[in-house]
Amino acid sequence: MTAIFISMLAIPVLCAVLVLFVREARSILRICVWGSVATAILTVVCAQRAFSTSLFAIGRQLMFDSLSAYHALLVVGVFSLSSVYACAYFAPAIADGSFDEEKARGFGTLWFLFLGSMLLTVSSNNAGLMWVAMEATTITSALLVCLDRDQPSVQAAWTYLLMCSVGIALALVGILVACAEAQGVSPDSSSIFLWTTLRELAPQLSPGAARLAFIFALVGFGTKAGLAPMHGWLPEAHGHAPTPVSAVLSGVLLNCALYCLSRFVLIVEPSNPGWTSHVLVPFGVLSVAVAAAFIVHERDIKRLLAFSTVEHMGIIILGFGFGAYGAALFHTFNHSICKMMSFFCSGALVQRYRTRDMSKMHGTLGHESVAGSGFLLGLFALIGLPPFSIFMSELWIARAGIAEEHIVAVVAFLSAVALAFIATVLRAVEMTWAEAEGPAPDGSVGRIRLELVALPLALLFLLGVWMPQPLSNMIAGAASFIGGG
Amino acid sequence: MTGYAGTLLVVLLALDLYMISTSRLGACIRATALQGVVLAVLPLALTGISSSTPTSEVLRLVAVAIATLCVKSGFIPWLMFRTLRGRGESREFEPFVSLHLSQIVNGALFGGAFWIAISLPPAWAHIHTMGLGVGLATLFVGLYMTINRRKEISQVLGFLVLESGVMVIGWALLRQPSFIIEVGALLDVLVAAMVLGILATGLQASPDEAGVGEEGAQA
Repeated sequence: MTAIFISMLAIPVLCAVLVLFVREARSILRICVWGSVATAILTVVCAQRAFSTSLFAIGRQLMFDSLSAYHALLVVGVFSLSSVYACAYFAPAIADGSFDEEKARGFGTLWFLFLGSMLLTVSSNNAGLMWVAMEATTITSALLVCLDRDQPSVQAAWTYLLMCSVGIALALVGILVACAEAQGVSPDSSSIFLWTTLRELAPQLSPGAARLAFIFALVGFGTKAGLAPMHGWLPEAHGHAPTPVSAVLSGVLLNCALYCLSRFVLIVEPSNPGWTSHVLVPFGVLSVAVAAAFIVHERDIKRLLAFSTVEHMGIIILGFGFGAYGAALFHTFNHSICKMMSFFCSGALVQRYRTRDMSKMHGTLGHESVAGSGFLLGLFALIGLPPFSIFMSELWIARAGIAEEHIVAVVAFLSAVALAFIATVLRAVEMTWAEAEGPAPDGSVGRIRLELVALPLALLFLLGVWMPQPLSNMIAGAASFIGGG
Repeated sequence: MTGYAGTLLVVLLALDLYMISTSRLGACIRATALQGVVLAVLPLALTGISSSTPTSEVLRLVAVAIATLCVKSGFIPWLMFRTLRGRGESREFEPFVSLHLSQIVNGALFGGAFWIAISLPPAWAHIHTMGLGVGLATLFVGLYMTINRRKEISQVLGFLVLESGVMVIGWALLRQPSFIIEVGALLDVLVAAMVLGILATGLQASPDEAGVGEEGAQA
């Protein structure tokens, strides 16, 4: 089992090196698919073990508990599907020579290092190692954002790297404060960086120090998670990144930042029962409100999805704030799957229409039936239309808010969601059914596989009407790890 | 040995003040290089190596010191000077808040940093109060530089100062080597500085030369 765990972390690194020696762009993209799938299989095996034994550790520094296993499964799932999509997405660029060997090598190496650093983030038992891995995800993904090396994408990558590096540095202060506090109460000073130790010591930590650590962590990891008002980097980076990268950024990278934050909830709550909700709820409401305001005016298809990500990160944080950890984790799952699929479809539409401006896209259902219908349904799911599962998780979070008597926050949350709902429906209807004025769009599109759109949509539909027992158990396991619910 | 720690921290603070008050980018890079030297030696001074310290511990501390010296005082300043020459810049002309006003703002930030350091609960008696104060002050200065200055090089320098502040806070709070954090943070800052250097070089190209615009086919 140890070997499997180590292989899970080693395969991305090996593949990152391997692609440097491959000559053809198509072969590199195929390696991206097979490498991601192989990592995914090993992750599933390790996650199964973690769920059955509640904690599965390799030495003192690496571990999988139900919370990290849950996030790791999402990471590898989204990565595998995005790798498959990348083959279709880059096909026209390979054909016209703009995605040459050198660019493909750069993409492949960074893609695998990005995957490896994310897996290391969720499987680190050492808070310092987790932080190092988190910063590594920023660096690798910033380089992926500016893969095209044009001025807007370099500018976007610059803003992203600088904002998130500064944010993550502040999160390190949070980690150091928590560890310094643990040093005062721990008999063994060598283990104060370990999450397993910190969790055991959590009830003994002084409330003030634990709160200070949490504030730093919230600002730091919140920047990376794109919570308002620290979300400035997010729309630009998502907008200018190649679409498979946008899908991964939005689908799982931000979840990893929230994962790091949820580790801090575990440390703070025992000494300050109920305190985190006072901090998280305002951040959540602000994120949802700010995102809704921007969604109303946004015409750029990828920036629209990016602002929707800010909205959903806010909803997840609200879930944490209301103490509905299960609902928040379920929403994380739903959002990852839906946003990934929506980005795939938006990528195909942008390629077809040669623009990101939604007001210039008309009759998408006729011109690009798979991507057009996928994008429309994806938007409907994202705005919380039943019977998709996002509706269920939002409902679950709102009910928890009412039960905890956060009435003002719930009203603000639902109003902002309703605003985003109306704005998005109007835009979606316009681009899907409006008559085209000019000639038919002539952009070349890599054929998007029907399964990449149909499977996530079917899953979202299924989870909206029926929750399978294994997933329910997984969510319950991960949620009880944070604090029940 | 611990007596030197106070002196080193004062030097660090003086370098912070110098960086706020100068608009010359070259001088700022030299100041961060000097901060690197201070950061390399500070752990040795703070932990107070004596004859009873195990050899492995001493070796680790020395290894971290040498690595810090190479990265923060050697490679990164060299890289920054190279980027500076490539971009043909020498001064930060247009900070959002003027350099004079910045002095006042940073006076307040320093005051805030030391106020936090001295008003911590008694349970934290084991920490190095002055180290924490200087670390927080350096962190605030770095944050302020990153936000206030327009030139990309200045922003990277601000990030480096901020990161140095975090490391000082780490040593002041924990006063023991944590190898993973030290080396990992060093590696991260090294790679981040390299990437930021590359991106800064890319950013100087005019929009006309940069090719594809907003509506590039490869969105």
